[in-house]
Amino acid sequence: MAAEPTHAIDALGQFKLEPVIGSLHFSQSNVFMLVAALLTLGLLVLGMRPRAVVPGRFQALAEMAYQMLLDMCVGTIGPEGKRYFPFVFTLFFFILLGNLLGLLPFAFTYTSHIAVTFGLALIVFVIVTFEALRLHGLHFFSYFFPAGAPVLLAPLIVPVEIISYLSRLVSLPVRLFANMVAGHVMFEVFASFIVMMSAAGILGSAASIFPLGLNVVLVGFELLVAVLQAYVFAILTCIYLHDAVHLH
Amino acid sequence: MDPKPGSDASGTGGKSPLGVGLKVGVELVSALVVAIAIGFALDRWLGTRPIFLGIFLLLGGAAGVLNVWRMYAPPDRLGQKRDKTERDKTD
Repeated sequence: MAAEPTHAIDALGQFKLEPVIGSLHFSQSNVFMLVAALLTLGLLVLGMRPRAVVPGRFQALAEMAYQMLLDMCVGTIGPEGKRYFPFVFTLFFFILLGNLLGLLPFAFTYTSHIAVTFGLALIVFVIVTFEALRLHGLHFFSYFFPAGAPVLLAPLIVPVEIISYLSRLVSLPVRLFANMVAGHVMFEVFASFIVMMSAAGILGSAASIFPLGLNVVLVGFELLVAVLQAYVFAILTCIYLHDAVHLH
Repeated sequence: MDPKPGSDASGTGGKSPLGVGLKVGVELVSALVVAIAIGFALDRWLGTRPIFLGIFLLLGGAAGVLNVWRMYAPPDRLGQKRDKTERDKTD
């Protein structure tokens, strides 16, 4: 996230992938994915090690995270939601840690790449469609034609419903990706302002406290966005799974 | 990482004008993108350059409006059982 002290603000350079291990296709993005996976595993394994009746801080965190996501699954999908809980839990923590780790200095936000968020959305989409087909068979296709609509309108309604169904595949990743990119670009721009203003003499240095303060505020806001977007991704997955399980 | 502030904030965050605008915008554009992609692919396959693109452009606009309608529709219409409170939680 280091600002380049040039005359142009290089706001997108921070998203560039750099290979970590020479010729292997292993970038810093993948390193942070591994770190996120290990942190999640560590939270659950080490957090639940004491198995205390009155949980300590770590155990309370692990238990609260578990309970919150279980409630989300069961509350949104219904009693069948327990079956999808591991998937939603993994998805939530992968995105949450991606967003939060990206806020650390010198870290890389892997959720700021559309390829990553689109990959996640594709997994969700395939699982949702597969589950709907498995549970309802060919009856699933009645999803694209609401009951009670005039049959004459079918050529119009069915394509519109199919496009609406497929548009999840675009709106789900774009929402997360756009939020992450926007936040990090703002960080970079304001950080560049600090460098540029302090180059303009003592008055500029004094005034550069304002972009600095703005960035401090922005860190708090981005913490909110990081948690919120992980939550939104998870609850939308739950809503789509609800639609797949119950059809309408 | 506290779950409670996160879920509370999402309720307020989704209602801010910027949140609503972003939400609606993403839904409208994503439906259009999908529709244009389908229309373009069909045209390339069948060699009928502008026809399917035009048709699917209109259908995509309709699908985008349908997405937005689903988000803000009164819960008893269209046989939608998903309740509005859940929809409101999303950004």
